[in-house]
Amino acid sequence: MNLSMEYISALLPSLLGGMAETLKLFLMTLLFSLPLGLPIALGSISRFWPVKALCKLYVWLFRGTPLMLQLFFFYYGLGIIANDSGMLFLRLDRFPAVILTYTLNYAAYFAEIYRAGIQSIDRGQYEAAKTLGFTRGQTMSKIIIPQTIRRIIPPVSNETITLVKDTALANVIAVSELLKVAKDASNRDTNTTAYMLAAVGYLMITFLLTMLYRQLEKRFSRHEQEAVA
Amino acid sequence: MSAIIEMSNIVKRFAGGPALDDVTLHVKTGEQVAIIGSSGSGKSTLLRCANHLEAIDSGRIAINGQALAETDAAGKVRYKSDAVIRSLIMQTGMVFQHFNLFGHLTCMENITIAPIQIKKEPEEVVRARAADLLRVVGLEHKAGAYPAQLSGGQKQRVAIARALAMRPSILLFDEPTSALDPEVTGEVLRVIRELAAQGYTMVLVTHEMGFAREVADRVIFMDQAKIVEEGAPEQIFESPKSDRLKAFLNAVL
Repeated sequence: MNLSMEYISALLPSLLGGMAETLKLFLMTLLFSLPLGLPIALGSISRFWPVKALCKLYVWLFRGTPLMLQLFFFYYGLGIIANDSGMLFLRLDRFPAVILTYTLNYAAYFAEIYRAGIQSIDRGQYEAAKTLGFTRGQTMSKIIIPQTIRRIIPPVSNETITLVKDTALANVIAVSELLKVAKDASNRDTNTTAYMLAAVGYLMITFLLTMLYRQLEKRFSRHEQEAVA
Repeated sequence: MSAIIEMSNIVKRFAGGPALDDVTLHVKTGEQVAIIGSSGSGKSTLLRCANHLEAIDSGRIAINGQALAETDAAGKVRYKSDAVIRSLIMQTGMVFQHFNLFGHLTCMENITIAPIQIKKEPEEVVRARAADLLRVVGLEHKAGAYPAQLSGGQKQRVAIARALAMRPSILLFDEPTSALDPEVTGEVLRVIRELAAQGYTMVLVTHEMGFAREVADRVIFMDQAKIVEEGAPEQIFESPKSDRLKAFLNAVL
């Protein structure tokens, strides 16, 4: 390991570039997968069986196969299909392929978290809403989902921290995220400093996320706190 | 006097057997009806069928003269459209055993959300009414509190105010004090007594025999999915006719 200031500052620009790429992957995946999980969750508790079956199948597929396999499929696999069929629009660049794969994959996990959260709400809440004239849609949007949010913050935060680390998987299709940059530097200079610095980078991101979620949890649990007599 | 709730020849089956076996209950404007009976006699189920929390298997239900469900010639129950059902059950106010307050809303918001968002009444009007109702149930100082910050008795009083805010033509109480500690039962009964004295139409499913006798002008005794006996409180409690009612009163009094 070389911990001299000169070496570290020579590595920093490319590592920071990798970190920016990692953050971009992370944030864009969250941006798309957090909302996408909701219709899948609602679908998997739907009373209309085809919708329910479809959503369950979706979750099974994306949770039941390795993320890396899905990444290969959407990058290499779709490329092959595009060439064979002539439907060239199916060929995705590295970055969109990663975003698509991660979004679809994480939406499945988020859907399961949302579903469990929604189903943990007491039946009496639905009954009270019904006697007050709420439609099923109004009951979900105004009564059930707002109460679900507080309960799902811990599992969602857990899942997003996993996502930070899963972004490193994108290096297998040569996306220049933090781990890829560190690996290249380490191979080139034959020392481990870049790995150490990358580890610090990941720890910083997960630390900030942990703080953020702690704040959110506090904010959303206001109504569950007992009175201070 | 017109009937607010008409339930005729109601049959309701659960997996284990009949929950309601040809039960008829009509409640007129201004009447206070108490339903008593042991657990599993069908009294809560009867109440929950009135506002479609449970579906019936046969019979007819009408609220304020409008049919909610009818049985056709072939013996099949026909419920009205969702919109009609909704508009009818909004005319009944329900108070649950376990309060079912909305945990993410303050007391004030619990009371105002349905009149504002569902009935589309003007916000200022609803807020003023909610403040009045909180005064009626003695909780004006808890307007901004969340349900988790209230005692059971306070929660149930907010739940009563929430039901009243919809200006229902009848109040349905489903064992409103059964989940409460004995020391706070009185504060809830006091509110219900007050409403009865003001002439609110109500149906009260209860295990509080003394209270049923005091506030009701008609008492219904149910046993094994049927109405066994009904009449004025004095008649039911002082000169019961059926052996089942006698046995029940012996056991609970």
